[in-house]
Amino acid sequence: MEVLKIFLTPDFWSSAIRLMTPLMLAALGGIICERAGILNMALEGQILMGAFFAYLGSYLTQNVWLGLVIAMIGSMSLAVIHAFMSINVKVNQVVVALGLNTLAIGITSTIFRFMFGTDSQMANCPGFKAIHIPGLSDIPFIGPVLFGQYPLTYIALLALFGISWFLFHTSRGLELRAAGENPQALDVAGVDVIRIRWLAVLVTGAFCGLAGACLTLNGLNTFYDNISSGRGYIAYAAIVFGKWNPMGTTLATLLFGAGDALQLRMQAMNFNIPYYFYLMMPYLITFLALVFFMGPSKGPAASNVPFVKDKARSSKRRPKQTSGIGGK
Amino acid sequence: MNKRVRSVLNSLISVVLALVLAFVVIGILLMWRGYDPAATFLALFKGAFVGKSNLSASLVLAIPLILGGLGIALSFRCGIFNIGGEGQLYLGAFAATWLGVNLQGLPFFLHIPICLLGSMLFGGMWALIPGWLKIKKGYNETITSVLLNYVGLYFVNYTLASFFKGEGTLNNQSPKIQESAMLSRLIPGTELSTSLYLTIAIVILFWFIFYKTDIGFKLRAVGANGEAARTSGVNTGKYLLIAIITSGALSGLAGSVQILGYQHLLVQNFSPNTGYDIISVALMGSLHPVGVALAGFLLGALRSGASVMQIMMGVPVTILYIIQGIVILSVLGFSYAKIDFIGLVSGLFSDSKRGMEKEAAK
Repeated sequence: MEVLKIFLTPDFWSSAIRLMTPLMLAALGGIICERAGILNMALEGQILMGAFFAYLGSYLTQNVWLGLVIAMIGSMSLAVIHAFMSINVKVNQVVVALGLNTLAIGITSTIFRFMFGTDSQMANCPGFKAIHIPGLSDIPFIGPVLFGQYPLTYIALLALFGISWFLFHTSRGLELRAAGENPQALDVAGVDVIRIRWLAVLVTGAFCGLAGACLTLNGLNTFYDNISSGRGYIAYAAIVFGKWNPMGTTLATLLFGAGDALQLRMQAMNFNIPYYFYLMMPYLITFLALVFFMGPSKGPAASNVPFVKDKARSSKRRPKQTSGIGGK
Repeated sequence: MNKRVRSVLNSLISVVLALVLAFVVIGILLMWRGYDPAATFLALFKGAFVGKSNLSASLVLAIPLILGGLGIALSFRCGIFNIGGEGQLYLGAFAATWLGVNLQGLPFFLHIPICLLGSMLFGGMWALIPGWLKIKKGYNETITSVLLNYVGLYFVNYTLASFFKGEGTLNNQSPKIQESAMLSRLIPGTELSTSLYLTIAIVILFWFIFYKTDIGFKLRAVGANGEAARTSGVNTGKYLLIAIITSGALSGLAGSVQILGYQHLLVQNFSPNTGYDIISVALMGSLHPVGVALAGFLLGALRSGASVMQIMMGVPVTILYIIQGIVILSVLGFSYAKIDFIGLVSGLFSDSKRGMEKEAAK
């Protein structure tokens, strides 16, 4: 089988990792927010904002790293609205996210047209270049796959270890998880739940900025309408898939990245199947894998539940919860 | 003032305030780029409402938004978040076009209903998958329905590039449907068809069933407080399934009315983002059928006005998405923050968890 040979080439795995990087960054960021008890379907809009502002920033400053900073500011500005609406106003977190995603499409495509006009002549911005880590990139197979990537991929790998360590080996990480599992108990322990949740949403926004920057600054160096095309939703699916665990989530994004890389390879092999079929594949594979291999997973207990500070412990809204931190 | 009137007024005020806010933001944006906001908004308004052709164009765009919006409103009110409208709409359009092309020699009074029912069946079935997975297996319906959006969309694109591609065309599009499957035009020279009557009938029917019948009562009970409904003997799973299938069927219908009404053949990406826009419509309409009808008309009118505005003033139509986003966020914010607006809107989004909390506190 010719198709099976694809899996043996380092080229395939290298592009799978390149394609999974934006998903991985967004999903890892999303875990922080989810673990703190804020359901974040607005990853999509934040990635789009990140992608656009990465392009705009890099174009205007002619410096790709400044572009990255501006991307993070852009996506965090959306995160600020998200945090305010879901933490302070306590609206439904799914619905507010859908509004934010619409807003992001509007902001990015409108400013893009205002700045660059509607003609198809697109101005390129400076982009990232792949970094070959000396020594390591010469290892056969693993070298080109893991050590010849764009800088953001290395950042994503660092984030994977950083976030795993933070969540499960620091007291701040414990507090963050408690904010998502049992905010009332955390509050009684004297920790400011509102503050933790705000910070978590903002950090997620920053990660989505990086994810968006992958789309525009890794080789494409330009922007088009709705460039995120559902990656935020896929990242969210990856979080659920990976059961809110950084490692599991990363593997889930690898699955999607491999599906995407596979469809690109198969298109090139000319099987005389319209390429829409291949475009469908990553979504279908993710869906089928989710349904047949993963089973439903349960998220943090207080996800999508606004935190209401219990003033005198006699608030009528408060369910009786006596278990400790992390208990249900 | 009685409570109902007050709550209706509250949601009207919040939508109007939201629109004002949106237009202020857009106005500032326009001034920054050196456009004249007043002239731009005038062009938008004229393009939306003034003249027979503009007004009917607004209605044409409003019809699918209203139909799909009703479905989303139903599913959201029952506490099952169907955001798979996009896929359901495309599959519905596909089914209607396929039946419209391939059934031959039928009289129109049979052919049209068959096409419409086919689209509802396909849309409903596509919604059944996330619904069933949610109710029987506990999968989060938002994720599965979003994934299925892309599967459905690319599947339809695939059919148009392969077995369902019309002959003698370079574009990826289907053959033309039979004459007998086309809805007749209401006003000659415009694209407005009898689907307008269908839409009005469905809005009324939806309102009647939802507020005046036993099924409607149970659907509302499941959405307001799932646990309480379950303990009082309602089969909540069954009603959630009814809600999401109906919602998918209406999304499918939102696709097929565009085909039978004026497009007459299926083109790739013929209705981009409609599946997400109907969610905006449902929310802007406070998840109430009459509100959805008004919100759908408003958004359709803005759509058709915006394209006139783009031609006359050179302002990109994409500002609509900014308006839409700001309106959703503000309506949502007003309804939860309860600043002067108490009533209708506030109860709608209460999910079962909050219901449980209330019960536990009793």
